[in-house]
Amino acid sequence: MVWRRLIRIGFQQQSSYAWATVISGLVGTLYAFLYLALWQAVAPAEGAPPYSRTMLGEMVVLTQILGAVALFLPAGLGVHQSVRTGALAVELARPISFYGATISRAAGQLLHLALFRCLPIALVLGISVGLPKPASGLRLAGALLSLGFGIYCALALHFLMGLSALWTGQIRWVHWLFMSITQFLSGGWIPFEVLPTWLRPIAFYSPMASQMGHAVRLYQGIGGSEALLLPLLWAIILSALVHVMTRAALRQVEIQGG
Amino acid sequence: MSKIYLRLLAASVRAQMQYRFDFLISTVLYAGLTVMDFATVAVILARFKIVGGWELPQIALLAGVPSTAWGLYRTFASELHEIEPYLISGSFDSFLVRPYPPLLLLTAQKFDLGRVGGIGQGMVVLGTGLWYFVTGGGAPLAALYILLLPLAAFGIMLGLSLATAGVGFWIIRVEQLQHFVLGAPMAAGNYPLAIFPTWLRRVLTFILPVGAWAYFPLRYLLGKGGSPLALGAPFLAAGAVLGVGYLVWRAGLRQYQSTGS
Repeated sequence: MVWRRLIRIGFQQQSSYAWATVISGLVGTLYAFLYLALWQAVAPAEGAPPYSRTMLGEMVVLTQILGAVALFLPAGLGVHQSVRTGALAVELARPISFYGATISRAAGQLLHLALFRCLPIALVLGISVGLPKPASGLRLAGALLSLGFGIYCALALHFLMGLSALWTGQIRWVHWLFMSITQFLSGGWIPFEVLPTWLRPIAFYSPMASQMGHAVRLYQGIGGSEALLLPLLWAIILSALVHVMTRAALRQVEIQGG
Repeated sequence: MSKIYLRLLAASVRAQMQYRFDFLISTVLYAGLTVMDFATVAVILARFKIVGGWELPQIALLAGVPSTAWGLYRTFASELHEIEPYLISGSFDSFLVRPYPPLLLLTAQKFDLGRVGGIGQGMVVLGTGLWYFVTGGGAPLAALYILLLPLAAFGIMLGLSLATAGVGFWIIRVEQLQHFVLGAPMAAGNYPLAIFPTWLRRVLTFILPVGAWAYFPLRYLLGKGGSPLALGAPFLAAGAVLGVGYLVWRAGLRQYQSTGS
């Protein structure tokens, strides 16, 4: 089946950059230690309710492990490069969904990252500081489902950023700003409860939090049903947006001669 | 040599000005990125008031130094940081057949005007910290010294980047290595080194010396410990890291094998 084949291609593409993946695992681990030390240094004995001091550390561990697959995706899923080279015209003319093909390849890359980035980070953190246990079996299942929706949202968001290159030319800055805002508002590195009061609802209901933050909260026994519903809602909204933008791209794409 | 460097920089500025809208957008987005970086520190401090015994104005000094230096680094050494595409495509070859050092030609490729605002924003953070420092009784001479720290931090960043780019001649893909060598230590440099575990403190002092660019001298100037010797640390570290970085760059350059088609 074509989708399975595309997933395999994505996996193989990512395998070509084995060193980069190993080093990115080291980066993730280093950031985990930085944030662990930071929260230990700033949080008072009572923590930051509803997070205890221990839970803040667990939040960092979970975020660094899951973020390795849920957040740090390739810029624009490579779509902007197709725009630059003109290959996008061919991609759009293929008899399969361009979006489906792009996220299938990206899913293959994510599988590789899960094995060679996420797992090593989990191993190192598990041995050095311990892995947090889920609040219950039901919450673990809910967190995994929420994470699934979240990863889909992340793929759609990165696809949209890649496609925006048709209008903006380059996406480098948008990508970095998006990643920076995601880290700030996702609830994974800074709990929503620590943000200024006016910013909390914005962060909580934003697609940034739906990518992974709600899944982490659910795992830790903090979130309720909204931790599943919000990522699902964003997945639907983003799918609709992808549909509209892909149609617009068909009108905008330029076929390069040469 | 400096004449050709300046002429290439001028050509780079003219080239960027051909795409004014792109320049404007990238400047605005970069400004947003710098604001986001400090927002994380500010939000945490607004809630908890103190990090490892350092208050917000003192953290502003600590964070303002690398922030300003990062702006300088990305303005003047933009293409050194973006060396990966040159190595992947093999376009680095073009620097090797010209009668000037490849490093000079690479860095002169782009004087990134869009990053100049980043220097200004870093200076605003540093300036705010300095204002509190001086009004709180800090010596004006010490304030002048603090103003020089971004130059030392710039030297350390440049040295680390040279070493990373040098390794890039072997491993080609250097983006993640840059995150490890520059990105993560930059994040750590916003906070007092004392909050980190001992092994990490040693790494951030002797291997990726972000502690040297502001923490050690500021700790002494703010009366939080250390000795006057700490005042020399940023410049000694900058010299050492630049030296090592250049040697790694040279070794890597000899190893460069271009690419096939």
